[in-house]
Amino acid sequence: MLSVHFIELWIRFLLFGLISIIRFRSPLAILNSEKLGRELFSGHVKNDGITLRPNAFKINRKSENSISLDRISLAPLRLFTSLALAAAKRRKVNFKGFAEIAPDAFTRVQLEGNTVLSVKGDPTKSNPFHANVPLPPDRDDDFYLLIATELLQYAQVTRIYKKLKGV
Amino acid sequence: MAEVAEIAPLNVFGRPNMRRSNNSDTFSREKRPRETSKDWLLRGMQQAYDAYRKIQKDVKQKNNQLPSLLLKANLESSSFDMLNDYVNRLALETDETNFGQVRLIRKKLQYWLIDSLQDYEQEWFDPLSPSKVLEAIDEIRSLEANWDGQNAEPVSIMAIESAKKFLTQLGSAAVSFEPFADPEGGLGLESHKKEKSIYIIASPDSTYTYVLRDGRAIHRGSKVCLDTMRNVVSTLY
Repeated sequence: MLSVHFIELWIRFLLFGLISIIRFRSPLAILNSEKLGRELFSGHVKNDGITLRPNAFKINRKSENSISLDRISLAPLRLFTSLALAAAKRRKVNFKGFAEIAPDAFTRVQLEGNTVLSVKGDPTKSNPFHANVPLPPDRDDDFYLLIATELLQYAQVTRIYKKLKGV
Repeated sequence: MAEVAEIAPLNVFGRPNMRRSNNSDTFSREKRPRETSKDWLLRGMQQAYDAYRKIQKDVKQKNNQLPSLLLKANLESSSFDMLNDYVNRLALETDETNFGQVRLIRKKLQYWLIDSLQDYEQEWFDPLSPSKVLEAIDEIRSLEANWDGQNAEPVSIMAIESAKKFLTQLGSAAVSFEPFADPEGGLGLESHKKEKSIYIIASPDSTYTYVLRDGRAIHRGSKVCLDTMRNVVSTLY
């Protein structure tokens, strides 16, 4: 069933890309009107299911240098949910929903110097609506903890209430 | 000392029950046995104190693994003892003719006690109780490698020990911290108090990273030692 969702996601992305090009806009550029979602797994949400833990936007510096997101407003949520559920099954963790955040939240994060965060589309094979927020490398851990706690203020949990058919 | 007779039951309005007499169809007011103001005060205090002791006992049974966190219970206990002494003195010094005034004071004390007990109960049993902190740590410990789908490391035993060491040093303030897993193998702790928030990550190498928010001001530090971390937190609690 995943392949059906996978194909649908790619078809939607190709259509979106085509429309964007017709409008002289890059499909990788993210508008402020879009909504972004961070996939949440077991350790990211408190027991009430709606409160984020500070690790929701924290990265592991050894393996990543950006915050990974989905452009959830460009396709039905069920498609992103199916991807996340499949990933959760592989990793033996529970998928809890998405931390929904507006693109301009990243530019509002106050960092020292002239450091400003930005988000851009970064399609992957498994998820064409994937987006990334590159983070400056080689900083101390408190820098990444600060970003994670700043983003908490702008994010809210979108829970998956219904069991989706075919997922 | 005069013997105190059995007290008549009171209705929901705090007045003696008006019962229909068995022998007649008329209502008669039951004669209320006399109770001195001192006994009345002491009885109320004793009830509140017993309730408090029961809570304290429950806390001890449930959380024998974190004895340092019971410091607050001991502090509460001493304040209750002081209050008990105060009421004893008040009852001795009060003339029976000022019965209404004593009754009012007793009522106020009772409300104060109920509020204190409720606050106490909420603080210790609702989401921040020591047992729940331990439960949450156990839950975090069960997270396997790659738990966040981005190659997160499992929380190391050393990080958990560092976090516990820090919490133990905090004493009663430890109950306000909630743990979370850090993708780099550390154990995070967060605490919020009015406009202040602190986020700490205990690393496996026994150092700590923190971000402290005080309104709009932000203080942060990386790889600090336990003493420094404790000093930072002491500015909050």
